[in-house]
Amino acid sequence: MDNRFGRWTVSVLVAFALGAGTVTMISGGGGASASAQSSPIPRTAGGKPDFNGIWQALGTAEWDLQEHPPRPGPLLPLGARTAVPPGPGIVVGGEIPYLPEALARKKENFDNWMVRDPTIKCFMAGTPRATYQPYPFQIVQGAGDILIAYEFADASRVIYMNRNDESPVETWMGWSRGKWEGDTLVVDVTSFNDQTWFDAAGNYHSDALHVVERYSFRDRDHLMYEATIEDPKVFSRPWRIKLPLYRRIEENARTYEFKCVEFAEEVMYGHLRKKPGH
Amino acid sequence: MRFPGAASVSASSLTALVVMFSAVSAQGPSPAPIPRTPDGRPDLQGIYSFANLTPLERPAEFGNRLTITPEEAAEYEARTKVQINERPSLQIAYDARVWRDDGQMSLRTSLIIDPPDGRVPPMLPEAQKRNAERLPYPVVNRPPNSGTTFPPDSFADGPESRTLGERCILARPPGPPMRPESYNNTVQIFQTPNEIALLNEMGHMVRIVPLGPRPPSTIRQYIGESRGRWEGDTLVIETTNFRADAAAFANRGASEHLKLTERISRIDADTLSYEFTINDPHTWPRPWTAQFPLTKEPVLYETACHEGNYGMANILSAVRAAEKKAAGQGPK
Repeated sequence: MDNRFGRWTVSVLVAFALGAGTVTMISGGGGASASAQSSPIPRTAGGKPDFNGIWQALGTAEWDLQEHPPRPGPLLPLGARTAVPPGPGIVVGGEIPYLPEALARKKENFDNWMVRDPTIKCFMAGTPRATYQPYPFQIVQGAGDILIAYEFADASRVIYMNRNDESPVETWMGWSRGKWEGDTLVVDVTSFNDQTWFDAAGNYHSDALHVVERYSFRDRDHLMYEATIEDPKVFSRPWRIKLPLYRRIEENARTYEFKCVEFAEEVMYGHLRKKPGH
Repeated sequence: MRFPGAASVSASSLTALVVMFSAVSAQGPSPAPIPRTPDGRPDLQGIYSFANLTPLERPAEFGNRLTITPEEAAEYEARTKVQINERPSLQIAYDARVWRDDGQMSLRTSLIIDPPDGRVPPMLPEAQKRNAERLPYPVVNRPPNSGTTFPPDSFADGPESRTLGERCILARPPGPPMRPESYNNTVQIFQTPNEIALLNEMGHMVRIVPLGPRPPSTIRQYIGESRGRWEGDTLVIETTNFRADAAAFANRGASEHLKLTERISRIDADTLSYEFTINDPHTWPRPWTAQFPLTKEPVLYETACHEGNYGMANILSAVRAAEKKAAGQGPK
């Protein structure tokens, strides 16, 4: 993990390893005296679970949704610093049910990920990938529509809570319509283009992608996130991912502007620069 | 819709102005109580358009007049739209009448309501000097309505030579502050007891404004650093920490010392009042203020400016080809 996560990440990792009952003690948990398990979840004035806050995924799903060994990073001069770390994956059951020809393309994507991964160009990461990119995101949940603002590429999504119409155009982040099933926020996401990936291992989809997300509290500082992924052009059946999301509890937790375009311009337009002496 | 003037402008010095505008637009019985959130604040949530053909600064043709007649507004609108839509630079690939969203001319002669002449105050000498040194190309003004400066087409050694808007880093209208522009004049407002979030369609720009205390930040951002508070039923947002190259109205010469104050209040079920004040003592001898309405809109689109920015590669490759040709290396 990167330095920018600081000590908080380490303490949460330790806490997670020791078991959820010790999380409050180690993290400080906003002064709560009860254990994380028994403390009530925050609720809005309307009685719904209150997801307002800054959240972030841990783990290595951003690199590969499936269980994976370490692999070399994209920058040889940086040696181990950019190597891809191993991880257990977040696919329920482990398998992504590709159609045969789609699997061939996934493998080709994997072999060329250092060039093809759309996030190299600072393109919006898509849904669900933006959820488990290694950056925080903020949920702003009022009485109406819900905003999810991700740091990377300043991407965002509006979860419409009261509309039935389809998206007027295809999108990068999806057209999201939410509803409550008890204490679970269920979001139906449609109208994708075919330009985003699920991870940096070449897992991809077509414009027939349909994602159904489920957000629910595990305890006040942890959400469980599940997404069912359907795409009959690429997969033989729907499949699921599942991962926890951690509340950023630092007193100065916030999201920053992370406009990554300027960091992608060289790779996108460098060949079109004026050369010295010309 | 034609907007109802500065009906909710809060500055007391503007009271006479407000009364005048209210008289111009008064229609029907007094409005119903505004919707409120569970914590008792005015509910500002919704999707809104700020498309508006009223120019930021009062055109010379209107002299000292604050308002014009509906007939004059219609004539101005028709004439201006012809000027816009038939501009040669807009005739290349698209029909400007389809994709542009210039809105309508109001009965007001300028968005600026203070100073009373409806114009941005004259720039201080120090600011003129600073800007002359900063911009490495001659300034080209592109009327009407924008006042935006662009480098000449040939100024394209690399992507950094072009404007932040052309690079899809900071699109023009969303600011902050918001102001009417050619298209994507749409914003969605989200509201909790602890923050306000503004999602601007142009550049899919998100600004999350904390309403409570937050530790100060030393980081300068393109969108600055915003703090909000309620003053009665008016939401007040103050923004500082702009980057030198991206202060609000940097294209008009503003500096990173600029302090932006925005005031948002609800007029009726479909309309908010939006007002902003620019205070930059390093650039202008006095603050100046503009006001316009936000009107209910059915849908906000996801714009993907950078993802679809074929323009940047085309600009750079065209200039490289022209250079080759000039050097006798390219096609004759």
